[in-house]
Amino acid sequence: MRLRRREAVFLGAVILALLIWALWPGAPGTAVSVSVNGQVTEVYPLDQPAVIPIDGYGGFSLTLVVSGGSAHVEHASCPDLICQHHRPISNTGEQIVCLPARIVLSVTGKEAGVDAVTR
Amino acid sequence: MPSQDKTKRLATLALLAAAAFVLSWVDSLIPVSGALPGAKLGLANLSVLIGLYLLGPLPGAALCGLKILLQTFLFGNAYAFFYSLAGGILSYLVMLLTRKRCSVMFVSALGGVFHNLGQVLVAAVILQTAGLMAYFPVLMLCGIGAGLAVGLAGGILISRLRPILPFIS
Repeated sequence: MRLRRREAVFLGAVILALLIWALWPGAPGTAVSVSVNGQVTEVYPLDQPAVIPIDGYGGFSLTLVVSGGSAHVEHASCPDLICQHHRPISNTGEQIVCLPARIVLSVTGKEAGVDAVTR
Repeated sequence: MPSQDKTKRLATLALLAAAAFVLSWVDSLIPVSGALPGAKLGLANLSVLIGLYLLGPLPGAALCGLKILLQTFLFGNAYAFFYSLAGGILSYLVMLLTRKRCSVMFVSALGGVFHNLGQVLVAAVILQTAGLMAYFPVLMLCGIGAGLAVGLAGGILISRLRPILPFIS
């Protein structure tokens, strides 16, 4: 019933690795890229406050709000509102995903580099 | 197997199905926010786990199917169907294959991990994005945590239920 020793050791190692991965400090990003249904549509700089409505897949839409170097979602029309409840993103690599609308918001390091994965 | 035992097994399966119903409802009431809104404890997996261990692979699969339907159409939204389906099937297969070699807690933790893995794979296909990496470590950690919690309860329940259900092999 209880975890066996080797199982506990294995899980402990995996949890540690995942924690390091999840908590690894990311560099502050400079832009947020908007992808709808797999296509990058727009890239907005994080240092310019903006309120941007985005139309997604299946008639769903959301409002992207950029302020103070971070981005978050307001007024999503999807049924679960998971993207709306997500905390603001500001570091390179952070994402907000709206599955029903098929919208992915990702923070990138360079404004021009849409595909930038590096810091 | 005497027909009386068959009836008793059927009644046990029905009880676990009822429990899955209630647990799915409770699951939907627990609010989640912060880093990963939408994360669920997966309490209904308790029924699936107990069904798999005490009744066998087929009743367990039936409970797993019921759980997916409940999660999607009663306590969730239909857009989540393919995510729930992929997560549920992958999770169940992994638990089925490991149940004889590992402890209940470990099997449940694997179930949690592969449930989330299935979902993130479907998301990658539907969104046509390989880069859902920001969610990946958090999803795996949630899967392990929720799986261990459910597995702890499941392990205790399975060891207590087995002696009082003599018709179970």
